[in-house]
Amino acid sequence: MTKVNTESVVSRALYYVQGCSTLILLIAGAYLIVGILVFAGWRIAGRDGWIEDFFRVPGALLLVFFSGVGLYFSLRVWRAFDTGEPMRRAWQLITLSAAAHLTGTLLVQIFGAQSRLNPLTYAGEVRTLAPHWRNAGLVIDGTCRFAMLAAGLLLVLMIYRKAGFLGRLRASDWAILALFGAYVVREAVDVVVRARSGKPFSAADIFNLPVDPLLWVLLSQALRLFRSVQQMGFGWIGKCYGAFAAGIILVLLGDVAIWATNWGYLPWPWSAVGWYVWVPAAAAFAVAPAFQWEAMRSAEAIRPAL
Amino acid sequence: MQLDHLAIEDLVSLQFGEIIGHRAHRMTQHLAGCAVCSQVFERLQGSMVEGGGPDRNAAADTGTLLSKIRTWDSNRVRDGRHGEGLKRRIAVELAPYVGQAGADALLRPVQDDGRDLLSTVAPLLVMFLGQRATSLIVTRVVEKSIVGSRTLCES
Repeated sequence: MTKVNTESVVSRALYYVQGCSTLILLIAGAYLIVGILVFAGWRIAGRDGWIEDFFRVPGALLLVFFSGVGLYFSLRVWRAFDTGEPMRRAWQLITLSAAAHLTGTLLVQIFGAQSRLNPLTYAGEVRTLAPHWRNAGLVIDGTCRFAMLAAGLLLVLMIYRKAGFLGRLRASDWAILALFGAYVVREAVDVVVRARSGKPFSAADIFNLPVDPLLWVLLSQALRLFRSVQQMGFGWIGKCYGAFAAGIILVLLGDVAIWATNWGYLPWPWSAVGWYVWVPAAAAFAVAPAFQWEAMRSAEAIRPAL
Repeated sequence: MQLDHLAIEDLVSLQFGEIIGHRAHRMTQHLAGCAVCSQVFERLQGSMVEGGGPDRNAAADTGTLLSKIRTWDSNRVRDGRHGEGLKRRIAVELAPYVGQAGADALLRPVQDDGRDLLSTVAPLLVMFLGQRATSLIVTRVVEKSIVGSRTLCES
């Protein structure tokens, strides 16, 4: 009996240590609570430095941490599938997407940022390269990452269809897709107007043009995944793909917030609220593979003692 | 030539004296003419003998397993290890992975005695969790929900 209890405790410990989904969600929640306090303090005291430091140091570190965690668990899940299994290819693409996310986040939040975390700021002339690192990071974390994620999730949806669990989009989903479609068209019109006015496009601008159409594709996949998960239920598998869906929707909200800020629809200081989206989004992309890994690990942990 | 071999459960019942009369006579006749079944039955009888012989542990393990099968077989109706009761037990095991609705949907086509559990559920689980994890989960489900050997081991 004692042996059984010990095994049970070890299994649970393995589950919590190797899964970490609860820890990821707790860290993201704690960050948001502290963020609200800092926001309130900033508005009351009127010291911009507080909110800037909050996002430049702990915010940036947390984004890097979550993208690293996402890559780690994606890699573990990918390798846990055997060659030839349909999910292996899907997770290979998701892992590549996670790798692009980590690379892009490092370049944007650390090497391309004007912050104390950037080692280049202590390296004399090299600091002038920071904007280039940032632009490269935006392309890698944008077009490259989203293209691979969309391809991976397409394979996942095909597996859902094959298993008979693919959900149907509802009228509200179609309305959301139409709304975001209109936003993408509006963005495209802005690009055309800018091109006609003779304003130059940088290489980063050109490479980032597919981001919004890709986000629309990802949104359609996220909604389809969400409906499928609703149909299947929120087990580990459902939580995994539900988290991907949540992450995509948060990224999309952040993207819209940036657009609204740039075009004056979201005035300062409320535009700062948009900054809070990125950490929960990163947490969602970290916790999604963690859920899948927990499902696979728990199967190991309950290995019957024959 | 024997086309239909005797089920292991029936052989166990015969060995334990639970099958008597005309049916036992027919089974004995079958065993006399079927090399495959008689070999299985001899092994079964051998495993029941305690002590002695070079393969004592293996025989004891087989005896324990057969004892579990017999206990399961006699208790499964009483314990709800058949029909909807069995499916509910299996659904409880699968729900953490695929969700409650997913588990119910997976088990809908499974027969009441769970004999086609592996062929029905495993391919779908493999799609989402992979071969390695699925084989462990299915083993666990069979152990805990169908045979119930864990309970027997602990008792």
